[in-house]
Amino acid sequence: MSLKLQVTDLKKNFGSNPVLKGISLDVNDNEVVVIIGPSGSGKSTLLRCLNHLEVPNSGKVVIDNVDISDPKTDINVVRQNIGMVFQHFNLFKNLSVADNITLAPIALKHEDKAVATEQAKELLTTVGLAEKLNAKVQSLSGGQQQRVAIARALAMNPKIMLFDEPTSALDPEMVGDVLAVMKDLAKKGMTMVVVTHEMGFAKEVADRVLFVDDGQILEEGTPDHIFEHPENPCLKSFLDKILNV
Amino acid sequence: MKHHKLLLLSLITCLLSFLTFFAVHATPVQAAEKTYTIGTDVTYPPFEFANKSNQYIGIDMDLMNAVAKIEGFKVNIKPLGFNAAVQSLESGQIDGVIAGMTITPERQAKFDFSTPYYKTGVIMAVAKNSDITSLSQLRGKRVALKTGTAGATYANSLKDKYGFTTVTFDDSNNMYQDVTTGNSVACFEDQPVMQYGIQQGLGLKIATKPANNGYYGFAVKKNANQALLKKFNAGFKKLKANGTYDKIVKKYVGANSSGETTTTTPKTNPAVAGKTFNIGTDVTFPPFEFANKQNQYVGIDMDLMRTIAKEQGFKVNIKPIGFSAAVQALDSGQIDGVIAGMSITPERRQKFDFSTAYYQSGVVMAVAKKSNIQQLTQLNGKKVAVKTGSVGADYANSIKNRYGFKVVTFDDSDNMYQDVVTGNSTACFEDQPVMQYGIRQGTKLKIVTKPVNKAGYGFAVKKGVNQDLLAAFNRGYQDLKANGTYDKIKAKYLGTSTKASTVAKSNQPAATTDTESRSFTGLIQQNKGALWDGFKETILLTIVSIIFATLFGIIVGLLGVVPNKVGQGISSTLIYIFRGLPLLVLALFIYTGIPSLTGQKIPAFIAGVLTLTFNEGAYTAAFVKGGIEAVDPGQMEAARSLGLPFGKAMGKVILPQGIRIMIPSFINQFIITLKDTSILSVIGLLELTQTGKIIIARNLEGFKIWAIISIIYLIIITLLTWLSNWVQRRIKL
Repeated sequence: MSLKLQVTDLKKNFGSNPVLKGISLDVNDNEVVVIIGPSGSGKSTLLRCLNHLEVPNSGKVVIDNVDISDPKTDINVVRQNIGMVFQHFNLFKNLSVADNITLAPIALKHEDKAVATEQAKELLTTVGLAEKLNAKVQSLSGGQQQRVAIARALAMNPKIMLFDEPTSALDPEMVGDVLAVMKDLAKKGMTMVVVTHEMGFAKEVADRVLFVDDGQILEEGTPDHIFEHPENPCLKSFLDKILNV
Repeated sequence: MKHHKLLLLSLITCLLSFLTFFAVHATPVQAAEKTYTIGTDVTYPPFEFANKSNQYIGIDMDLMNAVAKIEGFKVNIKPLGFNAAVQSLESGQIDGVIAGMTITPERQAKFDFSTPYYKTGVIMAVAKNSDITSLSQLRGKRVALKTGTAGATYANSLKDKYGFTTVTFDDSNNMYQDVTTGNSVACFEDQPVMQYGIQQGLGLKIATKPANNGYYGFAVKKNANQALLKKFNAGFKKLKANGTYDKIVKKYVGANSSGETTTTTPKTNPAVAGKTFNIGTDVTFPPFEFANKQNQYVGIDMDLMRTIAKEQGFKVNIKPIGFSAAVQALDSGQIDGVIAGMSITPERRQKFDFSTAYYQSGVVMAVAKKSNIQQLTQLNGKKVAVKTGSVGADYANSIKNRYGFKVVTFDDSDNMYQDVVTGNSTACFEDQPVMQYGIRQGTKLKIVTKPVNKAGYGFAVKKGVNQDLLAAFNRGYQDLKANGTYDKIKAKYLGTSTKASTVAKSNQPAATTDTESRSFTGLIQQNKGALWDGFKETILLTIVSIIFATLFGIIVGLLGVVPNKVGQGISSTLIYIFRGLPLLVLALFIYTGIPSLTGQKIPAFIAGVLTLTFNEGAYTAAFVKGGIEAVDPGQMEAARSLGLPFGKAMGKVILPQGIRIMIPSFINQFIITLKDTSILSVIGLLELTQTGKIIIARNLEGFKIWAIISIIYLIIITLLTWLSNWVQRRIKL
């Protein structure tokens, strides 16, 4: 198993407020890592540091042996290989579904428009929205938008996918569709880092689960270890709250 | 908000209490019994002037105080200035005047004079190291004079005979300076004044014996205060007898000096033949300059300038850009000369070299035809209209506290007249010839006072520049004066009696019959050429400015959102400066300031476009920046997470969304830009507003012409709004 992502002693402050207090993490090829933890624990910030949407104060992030903290690294090239899915989808409101998906391949890889559109169709098929190719973004439901957002991220053929609470903004009946697409991706061997509150997804899909609280990884292990034999008292109380609602 | 209102309220209260304070303290103190209020000049050494401790001293002052003491009365000395003192005496505000006032027949018609208390005469003074000792050496030279003095009268009577030219100053100091610096070779001044000046260290010497002897007298109003006059005469006699008088005089004036005579050297003027000069003038200052029905510029200044140019063999390009704009354009070297009924003042002399005064003007007060206001004293508590920057305005402001009236300021004569005609203001102050002409043209006003604060009008060039042109003007003017052409020009516009026939009688029938139609259609018909040109200029200015302002605004706005501190700083600074500057100030700054800095002339149109580009562009930048910032930041993050560089993300995702937010602001800004072009009339651009001003200056149909201009603006704005809405529909996303 080769190392895909290596995070060393990552620290991030917002003003004088430390959000990440030294996080180290390795993710292997084809591995699915799920990050859980209470709100405000730093999970999303950690994820956003991985592609430098947030620039960390110190520490190293190495993806595919490229140190993205190095000023000489062209972050725009690195990001082409990191797909990201946001809580609020962030589909481009001025563009159609097809244009949302083909924008980056055409602009960055100089793909032919017809080729890119063909690829967009295939991606939409895999997320179950083949008929929405020419739809307007505003006409889609939240779940549909999030699946289009996944398709958009996949259009650049990323080597790793980051999911930032992809189902938190969805109506409950939409959650399943999105999770199904993610499970499908995991099965195909995509390396994934997922921040989520969907414990069922974590149990079923994750190779490893990290519990983050107060800017640190307090416990990590297999889903079985985390959910059935938690050791850290914070994790225990967190799970109590989440699972016994 | 509440907080602000409170602050404002307290500010206003403060201001009001200040005003009340000053109003109360400005009220003249009534003279007690046996105390006489005596007016005098502000500064006329050695007769009256303030010493270091701001007490008024001098021959007149000492004499008056000595007389009062010996005759047993008290005096309250008021240094009002010569003209104001004379007027106050005439209106009975004060009891007497002692101000080195020469006894003349004209003054004797109004005042009763005491025994002459001082004999004076005009002497010629030259620089200390000068070898000029007689009038005959002045041929071809320049001589400095002070407005309205006996010295000026004397010199003007001699200048043809001795062949010198004259320059006129408003005060003695500037006149002396002109001689010490060598600009002029000599000056003419009252002997005691000159003597005193030399005693005080002036670098001049007296070269001739006193001529045109005159006598100073103490004055009271005719047939009033005879008791005071008698006391003065009696007291003066006693002082003369006991030697006090001689002591007083000796205290201020040293020994006499005089000079002898020798021969002359002629001098030639350099040629200006074949050259073309840009001459700035006012938009409308009849009878000196105004557009006639054919929209050609005519008037005394215009005729004079053109005739001189013809005689002297040079060409002129007349630019009616407005008085203030012309003065500033001259200062910044945009034009070569200004002839615009401009009074020669010491302030202006700092910047400009003036020709010989070609016209003597003075300020008169005019009231509505039916008004029964006769004099300044009746203005208490009333409103008075003046025109910005005019001598009349200066005069009104200098006396408003004394007479207790309020001053309202207008930008042009027509609006000022209208304010009096409609009764909003009780009176206005205006240059005498202008007022005379206006009344002849049918303005429903009448002149009720004699001209005061007399000043000479001069043609101006920038100091030290275009001296050939100035010399040519002076020579041409002398010729026209000599051969009678000058008087003909004057008569053409003012009728035959050019010598200040002043008091309101409107006795002369209008020389030019007015056949202009005054109906709306008639006015449009007559002025359609000018209006069409103004319309085109406004449209051109608007379109060009909108294009550049939009480009400037988008660039600066984008600079404000790039992830770069320097860029953001530049953007904020540009917006701060150009949004903070009033458009009017910016226009004047660019038009007059840039040429002063770079020495490069800048055409008014380009200056206008630059002004609007910066000002409207700053507003555009602000809403472009705001529009971009209003786009959900998640859009930018999503685009960047795909690997799109900032520029591409901006261009393909953020801007298309931001523009939609900005469109209403853009349309708004276009309309504002159109309206703001009217402000550019200050730098003389002949757009719609300026066109309106010029037409109104001629026909005085303010209401109708402004109505026509307003409608034209509304039509353009309607068209612009339609166009914008059409574009908005096309762009709709």
